[in-house]
Amino acid sequence: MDIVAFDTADFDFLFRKPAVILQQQFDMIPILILMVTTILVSVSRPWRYTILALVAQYLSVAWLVAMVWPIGLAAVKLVVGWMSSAILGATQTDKEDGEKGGFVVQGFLFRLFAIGVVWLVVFSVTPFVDNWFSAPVHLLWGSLLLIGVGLLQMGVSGEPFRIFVGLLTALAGFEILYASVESSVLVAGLLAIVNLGLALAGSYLMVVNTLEEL
Amino acid sequence: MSAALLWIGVPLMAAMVFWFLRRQKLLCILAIGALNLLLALLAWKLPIGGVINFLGLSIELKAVWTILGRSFVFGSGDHSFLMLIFGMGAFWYIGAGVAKVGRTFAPLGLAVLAFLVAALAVQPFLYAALFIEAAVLFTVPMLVPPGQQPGKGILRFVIFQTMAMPFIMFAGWIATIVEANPTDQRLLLQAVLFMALGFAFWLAVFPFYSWVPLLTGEVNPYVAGFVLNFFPTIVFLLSLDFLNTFAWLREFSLLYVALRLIGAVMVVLGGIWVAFERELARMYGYAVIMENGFSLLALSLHSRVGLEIFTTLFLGRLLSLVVWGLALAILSGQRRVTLDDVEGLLYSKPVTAGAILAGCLSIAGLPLLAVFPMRLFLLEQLVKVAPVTVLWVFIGNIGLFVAGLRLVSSMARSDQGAQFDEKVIPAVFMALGTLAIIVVGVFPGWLTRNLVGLLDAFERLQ
Repeated sequence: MDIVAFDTADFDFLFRKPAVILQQQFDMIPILILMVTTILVSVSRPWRYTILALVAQYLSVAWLVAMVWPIGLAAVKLVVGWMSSAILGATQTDKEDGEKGGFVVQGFLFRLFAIGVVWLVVFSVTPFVDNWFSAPVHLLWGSLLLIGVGLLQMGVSGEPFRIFVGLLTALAGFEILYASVESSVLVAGLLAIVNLGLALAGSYLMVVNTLEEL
Repeated sequence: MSAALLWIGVPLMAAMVFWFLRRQKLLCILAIGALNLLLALLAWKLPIGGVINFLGLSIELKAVWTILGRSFVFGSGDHSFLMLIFGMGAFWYIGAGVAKVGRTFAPLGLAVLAFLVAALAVQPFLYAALFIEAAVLFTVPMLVPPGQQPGKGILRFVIFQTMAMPFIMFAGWIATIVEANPTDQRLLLQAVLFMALGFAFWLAVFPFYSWVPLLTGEVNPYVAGFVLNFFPTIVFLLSLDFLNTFAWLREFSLLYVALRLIGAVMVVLGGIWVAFERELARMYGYAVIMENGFSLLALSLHSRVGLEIFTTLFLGRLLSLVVWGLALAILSGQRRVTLDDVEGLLYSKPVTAGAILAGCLSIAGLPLLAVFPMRLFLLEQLVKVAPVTVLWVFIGNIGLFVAGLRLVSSMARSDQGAQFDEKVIPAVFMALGTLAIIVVGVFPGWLTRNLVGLLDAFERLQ
């Protein structure tokens, strides 16, 4: 008869305080929001949904950053993210509703599948990345999810709007990770300027062909 | 007064002023070109950290300017670097008057130069990534003027340059830890890996180089040349700064092998692609990739001679890119020019044809043209340490020669009698540029000797 050996770690949950368990569940909320928003950012065709997903995404980013930074400083990420979303949204028109050619089931399924692969990769490599950064695991998940989906978005899209959404998403992922190692106010400020600059550059490229010479 | 105010603040303020005057395009270009020249001359004459006597006033030119706890530092060895940047700027602005650039080129180009200088002067260095990113964002309206459809090249350019920023910032963070634990091999490897990826994105190193020919093919080649000349130059100087600062990086033996391998791959791939390319502006892009590859090969020599070759390569590259880019911009305007479109160009526009060939063949390393002396010296040194690499590099170089020969063949081919159709003023600029390529090729000594002064700023690399 086989003797099953149990590790004491398997019963850790029995000895944890309820407050710690609650805290861990609470910290999972931004990750769950990010999982939803990353799907929406990637598969939704109307630009309004994409922008709304981006807005929710920045809420999660600020939430995650607030785990390692003071809330006041983390709020910068939220404000800047929302401003960037507003800048990108402001240059969209109803004509460009992202539905060129209509809804394609294969494209939708492909994107969904690709996001599934990204999730799989992210949750698989997190322990490895943890060796490098030693950040809270929720931060790593959030960060890697955003970086992965941002890269995916940049790789499969040809429209400036989608590409810049992907770029901002990937950059947001990097910012979460970087927040765990650096809490300089100046860096936060300069990164905010870079985010806004990217949104402005994206907006410019979306409408540049309709502009008259500056 | 601080040096940072003079060489960063003044160009930035001037860029803002000239932004409002941009409708006077020629005036802007001339004034900004003159300002660049003035800043280069001041870099030559003024003692950084010393006292200047001006109109009876004694003004101290402070080497360090501290803002929000961070510093912009100009050492006494930075004269050559400032002269190089603003001298190169003046050179590009001279040609801009006839290169059909947009109105935004002059003021935004000056702001880009200011950000790039700031990137080299800022301490700690991780802020350099943010300044370079700012410069990248300022190039967007310059590269794609209003009314033009943005293509894949500009989008990839922004993506790849932005991707470099996080890697360099993480490298900065890990570098500070490595300084405290220099024996930790795992940390060392991480720092080198992050730095390598950051620089690979910035320098369009294989396999992140696809945007270069795309960009040159879809925007004004002169503006693309401006970007592709300044960004790699600054990033290469930044890499010297890193090597100078971090002993663990200098002593990382695998680094030089990797540089040699990547440099050779860039030269070979660039050479193969350019040999089969039919579009002239894309050829220009591949030539830039090859030139960056040669600079990496010079760095890989890991010796004083290698560094001297590395710095002197800047001159040949500048002249070749300016002249080739100018000729392409004048020839193409907004349309794409292929080998078929240049048939008979030697008869209809001989100066333009000559400038294109001079730029192309100079980068290919044709004897008596600007790049040749440095290229020959580089290959002589390289063959001593890696003969097989030289063989591969030679194969890549032949690719660019083949492209040059295809250009000559197309330009000389004409079914009907081509009419002479060269405009005088652009022709004068191109002829002077071509002459400069030949003069530097025949008499390389004087200017290249001054360029070696760039190494004064990196005292640990002597």
